[in-house]
Amino acid sequence: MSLDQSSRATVETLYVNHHTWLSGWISRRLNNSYEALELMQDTFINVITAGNATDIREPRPFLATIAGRLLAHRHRRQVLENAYLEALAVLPEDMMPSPEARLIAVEALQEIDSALDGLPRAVKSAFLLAQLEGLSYAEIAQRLRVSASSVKQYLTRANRQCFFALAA
Amino acid sequence: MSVVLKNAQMVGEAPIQAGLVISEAAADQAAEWLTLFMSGATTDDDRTRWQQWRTAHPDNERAWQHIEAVTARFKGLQGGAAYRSLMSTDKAKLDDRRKTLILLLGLGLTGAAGVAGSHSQSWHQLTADLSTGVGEQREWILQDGTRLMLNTASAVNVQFDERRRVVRLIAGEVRIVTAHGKKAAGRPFVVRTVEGTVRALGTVFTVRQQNGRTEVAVQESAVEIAPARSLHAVRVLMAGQHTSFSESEIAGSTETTEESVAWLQGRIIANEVRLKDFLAELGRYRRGVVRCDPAVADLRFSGVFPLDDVDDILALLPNSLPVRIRPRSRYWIMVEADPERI
Repeated sequence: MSLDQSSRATVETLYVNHHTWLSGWISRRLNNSYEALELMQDTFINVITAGNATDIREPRPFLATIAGRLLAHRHRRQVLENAYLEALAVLPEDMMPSPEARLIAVEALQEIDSALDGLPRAVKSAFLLAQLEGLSYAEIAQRLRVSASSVKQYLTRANRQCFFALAA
Repeated sequence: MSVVLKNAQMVGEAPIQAGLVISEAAADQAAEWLTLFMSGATTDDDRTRWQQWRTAHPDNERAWQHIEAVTARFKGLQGGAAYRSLMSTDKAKLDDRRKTLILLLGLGLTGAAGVAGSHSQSWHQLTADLSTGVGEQREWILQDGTRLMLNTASAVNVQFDERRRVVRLIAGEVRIVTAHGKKAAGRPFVVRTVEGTVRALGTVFTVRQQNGRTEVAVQESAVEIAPARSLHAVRVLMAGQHTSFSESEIAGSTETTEESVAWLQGRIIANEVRLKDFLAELGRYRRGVVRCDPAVADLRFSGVFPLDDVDDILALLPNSLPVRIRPRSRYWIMVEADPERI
């Protein structure tokens, strides 16, 4: 990525003036100094990537907004990962995926999770039961205590949203 | 401030490419076709019409290709685990769970008899799922006053009605301190595992689900063990005793060791234990894989360690044994012979 002279200077000023404050802001929300440091750096990387540092009027709210987003993102990933690994823990040893496969799985879960964001719980549940567990309309209808025609509506809606929110 | 918002939206979101090149109509139709295939009841006729739809317009074909590409994303996932994971981010789910817990506690305040009348159906089936993640330990107080503590990577279902109190151990290890008050009166308290049941006789005890066996240790009073497939094998286990049972038999009992209950104090105790066994035990508290080099598997050692940082415990091992720790990834750690010391 190429940075012109003025925006490089702006990012530098931004970093020099605010990185200590930002570290403190993140540390109050994240109980791990190593990860807090990483998140602080990611925040500045985001500023550089966006390439409009020169337009910033209020640096601290700006940085806090980005850092807050990254924190929420990280937290959601952790919720997904913990729940997945917890559920795997009850599997017999020979069915356990390798650590590498698990990392890939968590990435996929994260993408699917954000693609399904905003769908009602029943719609999301119907979609996942069909897609992940291969249940039929009738089985899903029974699980969710709704009619088979509702299941069909749910699936159409979720298929539309999920499949076209995800990049191929 | 508009800059702030614009930037905030860009963070952490993948660019959407496909939405730009596929028409809305084709996307809608592709989703409908997929829905039809999900019904599990497609006919040859459906498939012919689907083929026709695909060739009718390049957009249709692209939309379908997109669906196939995205479906691949689901393939590497363990279905049941992925389902639980994805549903866990649902806010409603978290709220539901909280409600169930409050319900459990609330039921206790009213007393079992008081609620059995008008809402009987829902109260009968009152069910709560409690669980802990890897490295986590937590304690709950149930509606009757019983204290239930879960060790690392454990899960139970709590099923209380006005006749019995059943805790179904799904995975891991649980410690029960039963209550004796009015709310407990006349309702037997049972921990159920795959292999059978452990009935509390006014007690403090721990139950651990192992591979094909259930381990029980009694700290106070006594429990009655009943394997699922043998009516004759019922036995009472007294305080200070430890045993394990399968579906059909109960092993001889031994004295409860300090090691087996150390987790209740957040510690792990090694008492002249083989390195391999110690690492297997330690692995319960740590996410990922800890492998032991066979060359050092049988080395024995002793020590008491706090469980709050398992990686610290691993890092300390070379102080007492001729081993070295080799991390292969964040998740995978190898404990192997240190060639300079063996």
